Amino acid sequence: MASAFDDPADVKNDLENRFLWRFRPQRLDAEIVRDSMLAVGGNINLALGGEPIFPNIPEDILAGQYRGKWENTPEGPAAWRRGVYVYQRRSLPYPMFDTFDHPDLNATAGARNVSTVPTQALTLLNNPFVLSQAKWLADRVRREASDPYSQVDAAYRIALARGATETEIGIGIDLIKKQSLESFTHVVLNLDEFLYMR
Amino acid sequence: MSHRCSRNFWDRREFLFKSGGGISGLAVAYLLNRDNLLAAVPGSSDPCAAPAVGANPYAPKAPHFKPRATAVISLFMGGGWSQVDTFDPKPALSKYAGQPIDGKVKGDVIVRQGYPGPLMPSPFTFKKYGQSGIEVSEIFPHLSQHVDEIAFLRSVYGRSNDHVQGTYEMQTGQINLGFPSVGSWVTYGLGSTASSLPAYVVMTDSRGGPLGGPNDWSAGFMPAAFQGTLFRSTGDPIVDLKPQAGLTPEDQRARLDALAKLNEIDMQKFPGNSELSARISSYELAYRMQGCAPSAIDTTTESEATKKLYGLDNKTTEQFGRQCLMARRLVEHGVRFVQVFAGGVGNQNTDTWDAHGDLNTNHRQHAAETDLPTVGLLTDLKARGLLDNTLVVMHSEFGRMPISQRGVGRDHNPGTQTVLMFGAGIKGGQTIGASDEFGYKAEEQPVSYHDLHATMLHLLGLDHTKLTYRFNGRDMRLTDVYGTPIPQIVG
Repeated sequence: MASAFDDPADVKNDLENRFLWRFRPQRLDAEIVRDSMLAVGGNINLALGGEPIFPNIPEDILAGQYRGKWENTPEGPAAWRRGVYVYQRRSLPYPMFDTFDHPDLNATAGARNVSTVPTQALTLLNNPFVLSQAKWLADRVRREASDPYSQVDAAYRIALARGATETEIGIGIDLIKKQSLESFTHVVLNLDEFLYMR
Repeated sequence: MSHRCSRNFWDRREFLFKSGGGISGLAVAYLLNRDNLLAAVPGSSDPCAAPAVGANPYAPKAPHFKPRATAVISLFMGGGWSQVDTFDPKPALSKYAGQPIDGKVKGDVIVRQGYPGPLMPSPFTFKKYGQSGIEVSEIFPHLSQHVDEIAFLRSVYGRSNDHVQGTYEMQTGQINLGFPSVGSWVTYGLGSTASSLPAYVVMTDSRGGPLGGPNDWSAGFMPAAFQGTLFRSTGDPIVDLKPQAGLTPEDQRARLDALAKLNEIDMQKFPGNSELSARISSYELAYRMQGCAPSAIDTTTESEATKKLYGLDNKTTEQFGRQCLMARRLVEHGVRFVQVFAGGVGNQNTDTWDAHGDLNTNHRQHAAETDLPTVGLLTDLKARGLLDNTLVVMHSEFGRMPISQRGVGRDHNPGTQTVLMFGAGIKGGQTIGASDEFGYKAEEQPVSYHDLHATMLHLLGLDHTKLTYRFNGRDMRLTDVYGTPIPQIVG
């Protein structure tokens, strides 16, 4: 972890990290955002090769399409393959990937853009796929821990590969008590630490 | 204006420093704005009123010079509308009716689908209207009453006679894919004053999206922030806008608060990283959009008189009327660019202006659908004092042939089309340029799509040669290396 090399003097001299004295957090690419959710939900299907998949696009968007196929793959292991197996259709980019800066399919791209836009937040807050993976993550956490304190910690260990601090556990317990473990695991899938490599 | 490296997009904002010194600055700004945010919960009286918090991809930016307009409504008549049957009368078509066009015009005559016939007079009659005496076809009984408020560009020519390529050229300046649309450039150049809505909104016909699909409003090589956000005409306007069933605004707020607290702990490990702080703001904007977007386009609160003005009381005009009314509401809310598509490719020949078959029936139908609502928009914008700073452009991907196709239709013709512009202080009652004797090609003062785009940017206070975005080692422009603003419009 980059923070292992933190030096107060570096922070003071170059707060913005213009001279790259530390690793710059990198947001995960569109496909990896989805793959990571599948992985922590315990659902990722790592099968190699074969036909592409068609992750869910709302019917009213499909209805507005003139030609070309997109038959939603029913939610389940068949649809839980890695993002590289998502069908690439030039005229209809998969909305979740599109939102997370998947390059335009019609032109070459030297590098991907990294934008931070409200539609990404809307996707992570409201998209049925994200919500269902949050539920799967909650189920997985429940199998490992029964009280809110250790559940927060377990969720952090699964999703972020580290234990939670006391402060984080406090915030997590509050939300679990107010709402549910599913609410908390949904928040975990929205964390910067989950969405950024660092 | 150019962002030299797209991966550093947010670093350039140096937003944390400007907002008062690092993490504490953000935390304070966040806490200070909490009350406003809470006031913006979905269902409260004005969910659109909350001010923006922190970094906002659409933060307003200064234009190059004093603008004539601050917002654009683009009305795209999908399929290719015929100039000689709408706003560019050609008596020669009657005079030489039934005769071949070959020999009368220079060069080879190229059609798209085939079955070229002889010169075909318009099935519609034209009359002079207004002080200016501009001639308009009988199929626009309402627009014709307002010719003195509209500029008619009669010599706008494109480079492709194919729908998709023509649409791309009209939308991006290039017939190839992968370039940012006009709305993207405008949003990139100016940002937006709408704190709770996307800066660039697109509405398509319920019969189907336009040919070319999302590329018609794509940000191309620019960051995704500048692509048009498609507002659907039915259901939720934006994909994933609606919180999951049963989740109250308070519950969602609690999740967002927990998220913000946990993210702020994380940010302390990366002081000075503006991208992470931008994420927190993006959640707040998303939260406000949930409340604001549905109400911004909710036409049920409009008076009966206004609904009638746009033709919402009539099945023929209801769809386009609703889009025009939604466009006005969005502009009122500070949205910078509204792109409306009329005509959808369910059945291309009947659902769009693409009159290969029976032109008489086709153009009567599409004129009937768009005529009254367009006037409704003009009248309403004027009554609300919005017309002077809103630019409205009404155009198609190309015009149509002066010769017949199978005797009753007209094939594609990028040689000339008539484009309508009003608002933005544009002098109405003027015709600009002229097509040849038959309406086949632009002849006098030909206006390219680049010229049209340069003109639109100019009205918004943007110099089309200075609005650049660095991509693949080149400062790209909407107008490539071309384009001249039309003097009669910008003068």
